[in-house]
Amino acid sequence: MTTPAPTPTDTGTPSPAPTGTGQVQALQTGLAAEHAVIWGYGLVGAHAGDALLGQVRDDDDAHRTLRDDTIGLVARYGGDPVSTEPEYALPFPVTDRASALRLAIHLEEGAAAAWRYAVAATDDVEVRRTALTALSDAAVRATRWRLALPSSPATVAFPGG
Amino acid sequence: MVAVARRSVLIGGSVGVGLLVAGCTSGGPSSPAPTSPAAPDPLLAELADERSLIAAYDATMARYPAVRARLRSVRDDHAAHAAALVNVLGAAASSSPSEATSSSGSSTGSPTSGATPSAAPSGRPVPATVAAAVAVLRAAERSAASARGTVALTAAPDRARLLAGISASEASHAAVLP
Repeated sequence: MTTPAPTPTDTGTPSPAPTGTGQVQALQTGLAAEHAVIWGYGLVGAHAGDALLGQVRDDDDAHRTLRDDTIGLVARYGGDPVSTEPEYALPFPVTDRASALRLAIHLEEGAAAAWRYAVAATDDVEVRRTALTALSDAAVRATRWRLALPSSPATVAFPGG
Repeated sequence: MVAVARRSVLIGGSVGVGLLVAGCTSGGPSSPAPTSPAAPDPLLAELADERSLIAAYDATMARYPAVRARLRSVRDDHAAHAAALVNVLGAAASSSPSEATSSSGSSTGSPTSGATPSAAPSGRPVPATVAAAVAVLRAAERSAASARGTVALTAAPDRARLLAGISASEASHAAVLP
């Protein structure tokens, strides 16, 4: 869904900010991922089952908060925040609890990939800090979802690829 | 230029750790710094810390077989972190060759770690209960995640990406420690 693609499309000019470069591009990459993740959690919630609804809600809320904060940051750095897409392609059909959990893992891995890309896309310390926190939070959430679907190790050495 | 100035401040902050590490691991009086004339590469301290974590996991798994399966994959994550740092550091990483060979190869009977509790580079013995031992690991993960994250803030892009990934992995470890 979200891959650490080399360059998003809509930031043709270098950053206008005085203290660093690449802030808008970095944040837009993270923001685009957050839009996709929030869309995806709707499906996770529809199939994960009652026992996991609390976890779905917590994670969805966390992503919505991050999305809103990131929109504010993009604007602050002079960018035009990217919008959500009306629909996203699913990596596999989501029809039951197991596939819903796999989607949750996939979503968090996508978020981690985007924010890990964002860390390296800017030299602005504050934006890097934002990206780093988002990356770590996604890694922790992915690990919790893996624990709910035990099959492989719950952690990975390099979240986000 | 600004980045260079910033980084030298950071290096200044970790010189003590770097020197301490060099003193502990190399043993010999002649350990030349091949790349930088003044300060050691800040990643050396992170590498030493990864090796220390690996040794701590090895010692804990040796002492408490019941949690070995749970800790194994986390320990393997750290081995991958150390290998990646060695890869980035290149020749600079070989300034502590004995640690490199003994702690990154898990299957080899490592002469220094595991057998005796005091052999861990941190110098701390494994606690007397499994709960306390795991609590120590959890605290070590938290401070490792924080340390890697701090260095990532001002590192060059490739290094920042690597350190950010390691930091996030370590943040996730606390969730799986029993």
